[in-house]
Amino acid sequence: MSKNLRSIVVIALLAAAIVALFLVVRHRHDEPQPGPASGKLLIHFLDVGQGDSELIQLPEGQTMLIDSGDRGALTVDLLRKYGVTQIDLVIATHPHSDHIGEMRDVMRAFKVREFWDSGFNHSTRTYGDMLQEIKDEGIKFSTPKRGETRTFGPVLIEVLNPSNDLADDNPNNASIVVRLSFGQKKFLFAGDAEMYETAAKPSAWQQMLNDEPDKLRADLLKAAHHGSSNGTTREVLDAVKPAIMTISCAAGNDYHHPHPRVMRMLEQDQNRIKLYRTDLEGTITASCDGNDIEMSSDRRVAQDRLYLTGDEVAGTVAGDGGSKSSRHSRGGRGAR
Amino acid sequence: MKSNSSTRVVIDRIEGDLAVLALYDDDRVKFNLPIRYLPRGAREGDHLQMSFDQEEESRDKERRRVDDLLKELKNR
Repeated sequence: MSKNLRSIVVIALLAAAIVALFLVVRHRHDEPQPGPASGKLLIHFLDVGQGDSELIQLPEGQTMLIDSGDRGALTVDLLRKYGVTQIDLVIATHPHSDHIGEMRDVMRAFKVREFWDSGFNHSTRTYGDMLQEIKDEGIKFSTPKRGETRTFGPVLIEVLNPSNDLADDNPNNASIVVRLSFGQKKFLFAGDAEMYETAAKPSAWQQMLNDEPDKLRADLLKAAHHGSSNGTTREVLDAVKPAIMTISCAAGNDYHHPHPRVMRMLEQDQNRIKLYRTDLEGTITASCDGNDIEMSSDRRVAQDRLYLTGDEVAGTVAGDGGSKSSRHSRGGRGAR
Repeated sequence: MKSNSSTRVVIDRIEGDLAVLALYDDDRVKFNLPIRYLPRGAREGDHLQMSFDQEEESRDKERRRVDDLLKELKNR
């Protein structure tokens, strides 16, 4: 090979390498950047089947987890998939298994710095095992009450429930409800808070609506209690006024989630509220830069299926072609 | 072979008409039971002893019934 030819080959190879490097960098840039300081607030409503689990990656890199899904859910795998290595704050909204079942495994898989719990005494083995693990690991533990706040860099966390005056002996009403604020956007995580009238005391939603309804305003609402009829009512929607709502439940669940009354209400409000459901769309991600919220999810759902009730979904699960397409965005930039 | 067995279950929660029960020994194992099958006054968080007894007479009676029906249908 002549000297000239050799230098041409070297230059061509160099050029190819530069182009390849550029493509790799650009491709990486397109991906969401979990982990250290993305500058965005990323909220993943994890598809854990029947249950709740929300992974929150804060703009400066801290990690929060609200609930763990049920015992046996693939939560640990999902957290690893999103790059989690340690968790700064875990919130167990209330001690039902579909919210705390995987907590012990999560604490065994990742270093947890701090744990918030409802403190509601539920005499199940699952809850006892979770508390034991917190004790054994020496994790900082507290039971925050309405009015408490915490800041993580630019994100404010406000505790809206429970109050010091628990509604009744229903663990759902002891749910820790928090509102996160980042820039101009607010996100409300309602646990399994319920809405009903009892002779004795107002339920969790009623307490919140009576005390400080303004604190309930949010751009995104994680529906309480998997879309059950006592988790979402007209009064709740009127107070929160969400532009986006998410429902976490399993396709074909036995508990009629989401409930027909809730689906009818949300269908009526479809021009105002964009609905996302883990049973139909898999894991749902909200990405917020402080001004806008962008939504994406694992799977696409046809608009005519979006408002199916839990029982209707159960009837069509077998016929669902399992369209596991790549992650997509629905409706472009999220509702403002 | 054992003709009966017994295990403890915990009422994790009640969803409408269904109780969600978890085995005390292995809370990965859960099942739903209509609340009408629970003892009166049972509440979330209660622990219940659940026992199974082999009912051979009932099984044999059903086996005879199925046998008769199969014979009848095959000879129709």
